Amino acid sequence: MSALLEVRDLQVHFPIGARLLRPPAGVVRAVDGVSLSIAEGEVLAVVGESGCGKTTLARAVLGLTKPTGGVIRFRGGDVALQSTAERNAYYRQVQMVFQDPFDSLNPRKTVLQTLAQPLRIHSIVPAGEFRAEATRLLELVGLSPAALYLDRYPHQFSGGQRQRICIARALAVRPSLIVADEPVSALDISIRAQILTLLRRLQQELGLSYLFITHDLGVVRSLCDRVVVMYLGRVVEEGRTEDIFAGPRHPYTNALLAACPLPDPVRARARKRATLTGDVPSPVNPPSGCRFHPRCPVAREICGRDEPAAREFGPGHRSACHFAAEADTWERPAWQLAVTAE
Amino acid sequence: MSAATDLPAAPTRWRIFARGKGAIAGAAILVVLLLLALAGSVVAPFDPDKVGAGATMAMPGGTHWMGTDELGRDVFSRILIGIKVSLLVGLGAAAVSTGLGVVVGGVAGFSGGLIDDALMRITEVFQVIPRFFLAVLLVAFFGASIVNIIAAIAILSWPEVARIVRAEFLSLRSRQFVDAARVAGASVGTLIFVEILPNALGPVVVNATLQVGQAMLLEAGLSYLGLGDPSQISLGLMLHQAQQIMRAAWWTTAFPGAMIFLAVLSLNLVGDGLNDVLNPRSRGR
Repeated sequence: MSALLEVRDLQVHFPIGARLLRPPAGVVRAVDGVSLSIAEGEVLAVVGESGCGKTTLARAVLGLTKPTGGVIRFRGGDVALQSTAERNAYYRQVQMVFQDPFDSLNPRKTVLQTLAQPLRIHSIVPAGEFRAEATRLLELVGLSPAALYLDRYPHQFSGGQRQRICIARALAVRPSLIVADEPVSALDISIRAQILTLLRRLQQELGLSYLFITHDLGVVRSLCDRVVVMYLGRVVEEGRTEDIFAGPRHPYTNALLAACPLPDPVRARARKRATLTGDVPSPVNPPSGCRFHPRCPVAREICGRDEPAAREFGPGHRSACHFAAEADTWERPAWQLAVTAE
Repeated sequence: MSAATDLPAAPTRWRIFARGKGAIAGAAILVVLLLLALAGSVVAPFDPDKVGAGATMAMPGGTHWMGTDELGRDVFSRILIGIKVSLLVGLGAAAVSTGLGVVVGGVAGFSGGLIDDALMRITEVFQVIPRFFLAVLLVAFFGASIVNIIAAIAILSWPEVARIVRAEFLSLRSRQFVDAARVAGASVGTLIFVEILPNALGPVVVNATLQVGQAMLLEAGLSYLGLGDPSQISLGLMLHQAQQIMRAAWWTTAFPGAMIFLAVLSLNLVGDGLNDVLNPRSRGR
């Protein structure tokens, strides 16, 4: 499997409280040694609670946040974003769709101006063809007739329409990888499905890869090939989507799956909830040993002492838990068994 | 996906501006004042410096619309020149202070961190000094020429602009559309001038408009105290010269004072109107 994007031991630490003539008061370990890879045409989900570092990971992959350690490789080459030429070469290939469509379009630019920016910077088409190319992009994302959109400002559109415009902008440079940071979480539930359908269609038609950041496991199941589960800046489990859903090997993944809402009320009532208690601990001062142990339902003494290494349980299915081998004995939400049976 | 056919047409900038009656009134007054300032020396019925153009302290009437002062100079002719000089000082000072403030505030807000800290401490030093007294000091020290007065007023006014611009940049630089432009490959210059600055411009332009008025008031204050440029007839200088005869000839102070009032009022009204235009949220309404 040749990796399109490879991230190895990525670290993003933020010093906090540093001011003029005052040293930092601490360090936020937002991303603390994350490795993952995405194959050509693959959709990889990164899942986790708020504050687990998944957005920071996405931003670091795009060079919007400077990593403090680790390596990012794209098509085998180290990603260096020092010079304008290096940045442009990278952004030709890797694009981003942001979380909030109400914040990610410049309110003072028309749709045409927004779409023309990447076309101009990367000389995708000659200047005379910006309008035609923008029209093609808008129609590609389901906004037609495009003439109705091109000369309007973002505030005249709904969230779903804006997110389609953002997707069109990301597609303008004809990238091979799109990093999508919770692209549907700011949208109405009815619009979500439309945008997800659009993303799936584009992925298939254009052969795109996605790094899909989300906290919504329902989205993962419908769209993603593989899943990486993050907790407090670390990867706790990763594997193919069906393996993760059928048999999670980490108690955190198990709890996340249990917290996922069920569309069927009969099954929803029947299931037992392995609810997590407490909040995500501070990434300034992460717990010793396994970072999940203070909230873990199966934690024992060793968990507070030794940090578990990731072990493999089947092809590409890795879990960083001391007791991953006992996963079959954990309390499983009833619906999961139903999923397995399906 | 519902088609966008039912979207309202975007109202033009002019129509938004024209919605405010005050803005229209302000713009009208301002245009008249600007025309008077530009055409002043042509339409002036008398030479503004001519002593004895009429009787001394003549009441406003047919020949001298706004009367004459204690030397028999025509007040109306002098006001025409005064408007020009006062507007020049106001516009000049506002332009310099806005330019300085945008650069300092923009760099501080965009860079953040230590650069921001350092620049803001410098800004605060200028901000804590009482403005008027520093202006008096600067003008008394460097001499009362128009250029010095503009410089003194600008030096006193830029911290306000810098703080506004910095605050705007601080909040705008972390907006997702700025990151989106970064990912689109935009250079730092493009980020600052194409992505961020146009979005920060609303409050800056409004503030600049208000600063023109404030600078005119400050200049009038300086001139009233006798610190104006004695070779340039400004509205403030006219007030200064009329101090002694204020009770005997009310028109020597009332008309220049009214002009300052009208100018500052119209600038404030226009500033409010511009605020409506430049705030994108008000466009869709």
